[in-house]
Amino acid sequence: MREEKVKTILIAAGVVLMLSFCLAPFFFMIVTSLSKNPEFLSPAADYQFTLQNYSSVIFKESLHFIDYLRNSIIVSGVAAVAGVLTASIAAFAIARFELPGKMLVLFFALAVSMFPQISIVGYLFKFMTWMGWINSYFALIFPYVAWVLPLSLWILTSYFSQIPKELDRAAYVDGCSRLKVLTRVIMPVAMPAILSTVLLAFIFAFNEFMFALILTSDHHARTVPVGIALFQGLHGEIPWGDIMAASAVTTLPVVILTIIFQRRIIAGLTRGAVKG
Amino acid sequence: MRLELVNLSKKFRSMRGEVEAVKNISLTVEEKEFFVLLGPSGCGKSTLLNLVAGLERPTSGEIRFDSDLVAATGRKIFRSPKERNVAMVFQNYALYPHLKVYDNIAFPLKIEKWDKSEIENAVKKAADILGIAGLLNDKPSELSGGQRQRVAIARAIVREPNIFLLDEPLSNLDAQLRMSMRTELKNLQRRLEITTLYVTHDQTEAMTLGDRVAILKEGEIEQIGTPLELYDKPRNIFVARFLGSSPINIFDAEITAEEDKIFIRIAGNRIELPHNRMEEVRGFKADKVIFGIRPEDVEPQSDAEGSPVAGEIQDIELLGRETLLHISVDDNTVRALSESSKWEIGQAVGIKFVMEKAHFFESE
Amino acid sequence: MNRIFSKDILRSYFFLLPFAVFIIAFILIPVVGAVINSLYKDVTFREREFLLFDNYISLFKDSGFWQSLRFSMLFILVSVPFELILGLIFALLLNQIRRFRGLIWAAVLIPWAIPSAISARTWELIYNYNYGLANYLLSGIGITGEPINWLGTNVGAFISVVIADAWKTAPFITIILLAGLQGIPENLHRQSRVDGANFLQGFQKITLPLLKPVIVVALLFRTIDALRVFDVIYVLTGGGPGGATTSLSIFGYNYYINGDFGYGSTISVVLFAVAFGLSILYVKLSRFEAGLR
Repeated sequence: MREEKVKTILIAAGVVLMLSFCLAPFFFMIVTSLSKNPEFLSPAADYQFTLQNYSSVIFKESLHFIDYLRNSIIVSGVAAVAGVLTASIAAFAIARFELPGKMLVLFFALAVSMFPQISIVGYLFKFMTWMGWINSYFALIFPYVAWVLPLSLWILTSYFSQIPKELDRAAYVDGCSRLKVLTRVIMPVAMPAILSTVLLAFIFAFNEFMFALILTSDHHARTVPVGIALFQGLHGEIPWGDIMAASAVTTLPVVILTIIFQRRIIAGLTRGAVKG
Repeated sequence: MRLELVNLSKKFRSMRGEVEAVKNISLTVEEKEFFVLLGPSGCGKSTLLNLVAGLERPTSGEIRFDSDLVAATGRKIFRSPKERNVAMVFQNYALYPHLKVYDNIAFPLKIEKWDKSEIENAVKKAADILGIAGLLNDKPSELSGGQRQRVAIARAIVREPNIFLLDEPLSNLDAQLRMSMRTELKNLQRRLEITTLYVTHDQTEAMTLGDRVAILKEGEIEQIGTPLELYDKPRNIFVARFLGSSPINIFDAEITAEEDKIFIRIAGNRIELPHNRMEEVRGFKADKVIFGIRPEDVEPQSDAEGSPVAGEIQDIELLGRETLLHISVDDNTVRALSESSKWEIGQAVGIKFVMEKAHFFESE
Repeated sequence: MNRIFSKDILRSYFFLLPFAVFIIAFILIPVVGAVINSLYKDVTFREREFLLFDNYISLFKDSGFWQSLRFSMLFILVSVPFELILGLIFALLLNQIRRFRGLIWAAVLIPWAIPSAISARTWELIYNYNYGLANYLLSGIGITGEPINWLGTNVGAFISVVIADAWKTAPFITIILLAGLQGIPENLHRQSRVDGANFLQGFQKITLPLLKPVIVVALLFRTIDALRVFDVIYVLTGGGPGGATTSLSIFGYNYYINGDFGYGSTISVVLFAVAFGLSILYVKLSRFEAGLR
């Protein structure tokens, strides 16, 4: 009985420590973003609550934060939807057809997802320059689609394989072509899985940094992570208040999505990453 | 629609090599006939059904709907399921979980791009026939097993298919429901007059439903006939064993001829063969034969002394109206059905075989 | 194989076509392009010149390359085990939790979901010498009298990067290990308790061996990820001070950004070769096909 009690206390303490580690930076971000003076932790300063930082990142056009946010949402959104659609078609073929070498496709996709971005981005920069797409949405959307494909393919193949094959057979007998089996039966049945894959792909694309850093040059296409990483004050001083407010505005929706879809994200990640 | 299979074969390639699921099968299902494919699991009956549906391509052979070739490997003809206009019902119902009952039934018509009002009429009609008009707005997950199967059948009949294919449709239902659905299916098929191919491993289903039954084993047809023909005149031990609710008694036996009589020795007992069976037995090449007799053709007698074969009751199974006795005769066990229930375990009994109904098979 | 059948297969491959087009056009061709570029002197506004392996020869004589390779190796050796242990502890804790399970799991996921460039910015502030949270907490507890110069010293910058990266990636490892933990049948634990094993023995004899395949996969996955680390370092230290935290990706990026595509490509090809070798190993070890059956 004593041992049980000790164990419970240890676990509780561990959980508290774990949560502090995971959430501390996030809280520090929020707290700083609401402070008039970002140096409030130094002995000379004190903490004064303000919403000034938020109004400045949202309304001050010279900061372009809203532009970055819009760019990020458009680019990641389009890439996630296009990527998951493309992956669905491929996943359907892999899950259902007699395709020699289909396991090879899966393994290859896995290997591709581990390529270092730096080995791709140099040529991409040249290609996008040649196409005249540098600093446009195109420069990011196409590579992002390719970037989210392997993960999406893995997750969707795994989900599609779980749908009973009788459904396909019924649909073929009911007069469907293969494409119709996919669009009228498999995709609607797997809709929750597809949506959670879109969410994962979106987070993936939204978090991407190096492509955006190199393939965009200003607020016309620059995404939020790059925007925030390069945030500079007018006079050389780092505008911590603005940065933290911008970070908070960006991460809050992500955090809320994570809390709501926590189960689906975890299921998707484990499907995509490991079947050890 | 008349269905004809000619020299149909299907091989599957797998990691372990080639498996021939269907071996050179030819059979004809007549117009409006209820035809049952019966066999143990893995005998190729479902593959055969998939071949007829167009879900699998034959490795060789032809399939004809009336005079139309829908598959012929020699002439490279292969029609898709859609072009064949067949309907299929599956063991696990295969209802589209994301669609309401109405949309499930309407699905094949929507794919065929029927008019909305036509679809509505057809769905209503099919739903009325199956008695599920009240469920049209439910999702499949809200239905019981029996209701789901009705929806699946409604979806199958809604567009008046050429051929109706059923793949173990009653196997997932509980015993009582299975019985009532069986009757209903039979009536439905009579009423709609659709040629029907029905796959099952359940001999009772096959006997009660089929106009004719084909018994399959390892991809080959063992025998085709009406249920009574198969029951009364099984061509081999496999067929004899497969049919019958209490399994048939099978013994090694030896034929001896004495003057103009023929005797058969079973487990040390000698039984005279009636005249009308003598011709059949004389045709056998060897003296050793296999003797089969159904439990209902074994008559237990309470006085052991006067019967040709004597034994002792080992076990009694009450089946309701009848009683199944397990009687030990030397080292063998004979199963006998009796209408009386006055038996006791350990009782010495005599056994009389109704030799007119006995089956003789050549031993391998 | 008869002809109808093979035509069928061909048609089936069409379903893979859009997928293949994207992967080939935006990942494979760029990689091949980098290999080709690495054979050239290719600097913006200068004439392109074929060098064959000169870039590679220069690379192996380049002390900057060896420094960043050393950093990358050191980073892998320190951060991967650190993240793995952290992830294992988190996973074991999460596996015990019954109440507020959903919320706590989500909380652990949050670092993974926030873009690393953004969280790195917060870490930058946390590490601030004068008013950062790190020095505030450490002096508050009284561990250090003097504030630590986190980002300005070699060791400080290294530790800063490792911690910020671990914060970001531990959740991912946690999720993977947690899936492995939940695959261990509960009655195994019960059996070991009946057999008189205490918690630590049970962990050693049952949990760890059964988790081993998952740990190996997580380890390799993280190794490849750590090899290509970029975002966190770019934001936190920019590779400094004095190149002390220049990873191979940062090293290559510095050449790209200065317009030297030939040499930048050479660096990225070497990095690619190492990562690809590791990922082949990863694919082989993880027995992925089992999950699809």
